[in-house]
Amino acid sequence: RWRDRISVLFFPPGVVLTLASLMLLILHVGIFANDVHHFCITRQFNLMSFRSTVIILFSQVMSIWWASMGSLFAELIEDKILRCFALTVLMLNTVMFINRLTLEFLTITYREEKH
Amino acid sequence: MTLSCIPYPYLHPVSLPSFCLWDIGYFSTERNLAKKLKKNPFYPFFRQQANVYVLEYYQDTLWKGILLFLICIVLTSLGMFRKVHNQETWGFPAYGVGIGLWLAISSLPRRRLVLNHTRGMYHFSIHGRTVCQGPLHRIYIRLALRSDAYGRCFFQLVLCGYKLEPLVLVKLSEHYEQLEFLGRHIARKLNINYFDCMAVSYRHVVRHWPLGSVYSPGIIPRQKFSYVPRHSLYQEDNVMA
Repeated sequence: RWRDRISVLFFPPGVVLTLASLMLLILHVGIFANDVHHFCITRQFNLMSFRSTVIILFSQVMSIWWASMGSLFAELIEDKILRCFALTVLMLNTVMFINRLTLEFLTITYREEKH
Repeated sequence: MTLSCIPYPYLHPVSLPSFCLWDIGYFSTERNLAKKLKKNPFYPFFRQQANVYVLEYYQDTLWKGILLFLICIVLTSLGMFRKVHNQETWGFPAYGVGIGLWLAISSLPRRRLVLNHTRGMYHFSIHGRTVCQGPLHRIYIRLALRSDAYGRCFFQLVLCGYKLEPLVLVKLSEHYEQLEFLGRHIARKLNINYFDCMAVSYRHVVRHWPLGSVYSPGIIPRQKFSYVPRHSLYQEDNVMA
């Protein structure tokens, strides 16, 4: 029954942490795609997510932290599939963070006023 | 013996058996533990039958999660932290609400740990659903060591086991001898293993052995290839509860 699943799902916190960071990763990919779209194609820079840079960076760091905790727990459990999954999520999160930083610096150099 | 036989002098909420692990005290926690041991010799368990010890508890992340949730709800409803220097920052309390809710919900079901010495098994269940069941050598009391940047050592007394949530009985005390005494006392009362903070030590008290070595605990030749000294064994106990 689903209730069994849920009560046991709460117990090994590694799986839950990995799933949460996966959810955040999907959210970040969405925001990033939106930003790239407005930066390269429509060129409406006001629609980019500059107003919430702080919270986005914070949530990416949180996501990396959760993914690393999840992969640590997966290493302890020593389940091969779970380990692979957790490590993949961790690496994707890191790549996403680097992408986000690159985009921020790119926009900074692009919009710099040169007189 | 039933639950009502345990002498609880007054029914203070933290002295209820399910919440007793929340009240480990702030200073001199080992003295607090000693007082509780005087009241209930099988603390933190209570004795259900002659050889069956039962511990029912809620995790302490329950009140922490509820506190975080309430604070963040108040912050969002008052509209503080909405905007700082042109930056939208309402996301921080929103995160707090989510995390607090998850912490509270995930620690809401009551945990139940049963040590059954007649069958030689322990049984851990959350809200009546079995999580883990196994032989008694997998559950132990351990003195965990932590050191700060100045090299001072702090000791923790932890009840832990395979697929269990580590339960902290004494947190961060400097008195090694007292903690060792208390740990050995609890382990003797509950008849489970006690492990020192070092991975290799003469101070372990091993009462239950794995099945393969039941009849010759000391005589088995150590397999060289499988033996890797792990001096950081205690870190497994300390991973975020």
